[in-house]
Amino acid sequence: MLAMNIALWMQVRDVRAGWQNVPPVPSESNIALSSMGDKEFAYRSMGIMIQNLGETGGRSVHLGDYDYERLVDWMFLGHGLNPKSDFLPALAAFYFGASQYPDQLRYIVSFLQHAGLQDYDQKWRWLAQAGLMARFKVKDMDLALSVAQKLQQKQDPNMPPWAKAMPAYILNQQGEKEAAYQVMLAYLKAGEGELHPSEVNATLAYICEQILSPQEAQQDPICKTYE
Amino acid sequence: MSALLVKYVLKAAIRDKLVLSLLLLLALATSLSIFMGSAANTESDQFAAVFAAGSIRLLNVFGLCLFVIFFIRRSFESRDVEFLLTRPIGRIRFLLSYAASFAFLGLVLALVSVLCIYFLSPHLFSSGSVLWGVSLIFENIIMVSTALFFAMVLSSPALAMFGTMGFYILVRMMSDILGILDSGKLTGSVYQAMEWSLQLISMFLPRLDLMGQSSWLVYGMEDPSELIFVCAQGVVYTVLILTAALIDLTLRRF
Repeated sequence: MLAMNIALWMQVRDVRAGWQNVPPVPSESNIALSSMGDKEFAYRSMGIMIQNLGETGGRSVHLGDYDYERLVDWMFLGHGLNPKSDFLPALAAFYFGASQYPDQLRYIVSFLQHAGLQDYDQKWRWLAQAGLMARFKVKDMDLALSVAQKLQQKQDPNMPPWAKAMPAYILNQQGEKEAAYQVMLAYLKAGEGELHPSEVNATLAYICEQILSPQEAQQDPICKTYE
Repeated sequence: MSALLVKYVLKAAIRDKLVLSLLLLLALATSLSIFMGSAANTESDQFAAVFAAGSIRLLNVFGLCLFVIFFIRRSFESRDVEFLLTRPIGRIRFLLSYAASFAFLGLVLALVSVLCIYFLSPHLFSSGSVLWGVSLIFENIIMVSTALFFAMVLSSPALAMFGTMGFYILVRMMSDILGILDSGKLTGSVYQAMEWSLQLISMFLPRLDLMGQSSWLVYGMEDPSELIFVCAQGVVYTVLILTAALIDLTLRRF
């Protein structure tokens, strides 16, 4: 019997659960039921599950093989359970955001936008992260502009001045010099008396050196205040 | 209430190694939570606190209920109850003494659990942790009273345990069940009847899903009225379930 047991062991020694990709997303009530009504526990368990999804049992899965559509649906579900936590947005931005495939990253941008629009402290950071990802990794300037405009409209007293000026950088990159110029002027006007002198100087430098041509800068009175 | 009887039950708890085994399990759960929490990329302390709170809460309830049910059933089978009731003690004093002893055990274990949470992450300890601790005390008291009721009513310890755990799972899921009912997605006469029955059942059950919330440990107490709710529910439901157990014991013929 012992030999038979060892023979059986040898038969199944290398049998393991295969990678079935990201599992289907349950409903919020199903998840809460599985943790017996403790939503925070459900959120944290789900968070660990998402983080280790393809990295269990000695397996390592390339990010490109993940079904990002489902993955982000899991993140939306988790975020519904706890919109205050930064765990899932950080996981999306800095771990799953390392994918090299723009089509996958579009899903991450949509989730980060959602996380960034929440009315909790410091959530604007996720909108900024979504904007940077859309601009430099997805390379979709229209998407980046739309995210930057949402960031500009966000009311958060702790937001740094550059976040409010983000649409101008993207408009300038798109060749929309006049629009970028107007955004920067409006930004300077809105921050009159509140912006730090070095911030004003940096903004003037950007207007006179990046947006305007040398000839335009020479004629523009605003550039005369900047040396 | 009889102090001698309380002492007798507490001695039995120590003799059964309930306290020792639960302390070991609490230490194990806390250590495992630290391990699980450290696996998280960010917010490791919050993960550890939530995992510890979730597992400690379950250990408290399961451990205490197991002890209460097996102790009561054993007392009936060895005719301890009949012997004690022949003494000048009375059924009401007998039951209240047992309930007080179990409640005391619930209180002690809840306090040890709060200590575990404190040692796990002292910098996260806040008014929310105190609320969680108070809530755990009342949850333990409600559950030992429920276990006492089922152990009195049902003659099989396995059945009593199933009944208590079924009750616990049902009350922990009540908000989701009520949410499904309120969603208005269930139509038809059969569903209507089920909805009414569930509404009726929910009126007589405590909302344990609103107690011992692990989010309190991470984000603190948001509304002080939560503390009032926790205390009020603990008192009201304990009195209700003990009254039911008392009626059963008073009407019982030995």
